[in-house]
Amino acid sequence: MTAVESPTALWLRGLLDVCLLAALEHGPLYGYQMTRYLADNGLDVVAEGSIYPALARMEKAELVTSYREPSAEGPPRKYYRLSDAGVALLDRRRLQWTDFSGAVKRVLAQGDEQ
Amino acid sequence: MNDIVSTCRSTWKRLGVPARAQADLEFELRTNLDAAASDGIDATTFVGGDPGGLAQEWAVARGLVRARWLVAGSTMAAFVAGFVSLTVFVFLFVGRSHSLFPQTGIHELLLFFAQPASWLLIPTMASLGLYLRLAHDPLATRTVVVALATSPVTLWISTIATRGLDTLGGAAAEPLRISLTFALLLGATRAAIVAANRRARPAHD
Repeated sequence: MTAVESPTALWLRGLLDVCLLAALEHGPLYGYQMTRYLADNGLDVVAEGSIYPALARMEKAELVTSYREPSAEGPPRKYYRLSDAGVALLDRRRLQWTDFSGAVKRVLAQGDEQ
Repeated sequence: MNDIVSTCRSTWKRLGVPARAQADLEFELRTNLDAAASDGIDATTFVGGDPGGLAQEWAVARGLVRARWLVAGSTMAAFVAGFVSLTVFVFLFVGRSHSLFPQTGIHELLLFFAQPASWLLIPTMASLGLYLRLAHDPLATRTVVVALATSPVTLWISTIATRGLDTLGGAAAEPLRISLTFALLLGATRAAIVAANRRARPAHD
């Protein structure tokens, strides 16, 4: 028998990339700061470590770029920032999400009415 | 935290991730685990309980796994094909007539390949490579791959180096030649790869 995964975790897995892009919209962040950003906004249902493969995929796709910067608390950290392509993709995904979530809301509302 | 990092590092090594890329991945993991620890989040919670799976997914996402094994596989296939071709060439066109490449090291190398004892080299080393692959020792596996790729040169050197023994008696010369060949193949390449990996290792490792 397989463990039943939280639906929220499943949904976030499909949306993790766009959520990370949105987190970087406000400025460069390092990995742990991004997980904090997601958690502070109620998205703490995935292990923090799962963002690294997502960041690697986005960097390979040139949606984000990375650089190292000295840190006051210790060793230098690897920061990520949005590229122009990342900004453009985020804009497109926002529109798509608005359409998609609106459609799901309408379908669920119809189920309520019956 | 060190256990988590150690598990990730051994996974990257097993997958054959290059040393510099390993150092970069480990650097990022360590700095973020440190930041999480300062907020009271333990390393196991941070990586989600499957550090090996995370390490593998991360390396694949960066494109560090597949390409390397393609290169290693292509090198192995090219060497085996070259060896088979050379063996066929020796039997069909050279044999033991000493008519081609007289007085040269190349002639002696061709004769070496023609000797039944030398045919054991490829299956032996291929078996050793398979065993080391199953034993998850990527460094040693790479050693065998490099040894196979460079063996024509080392065979030639060992043949030249031991040809004087032929004059002392063939029975003594053959085992010495084989031993020296294996010593050259495994010892020299192993030492070179270990040295290269040590140079590439990060300062904090």
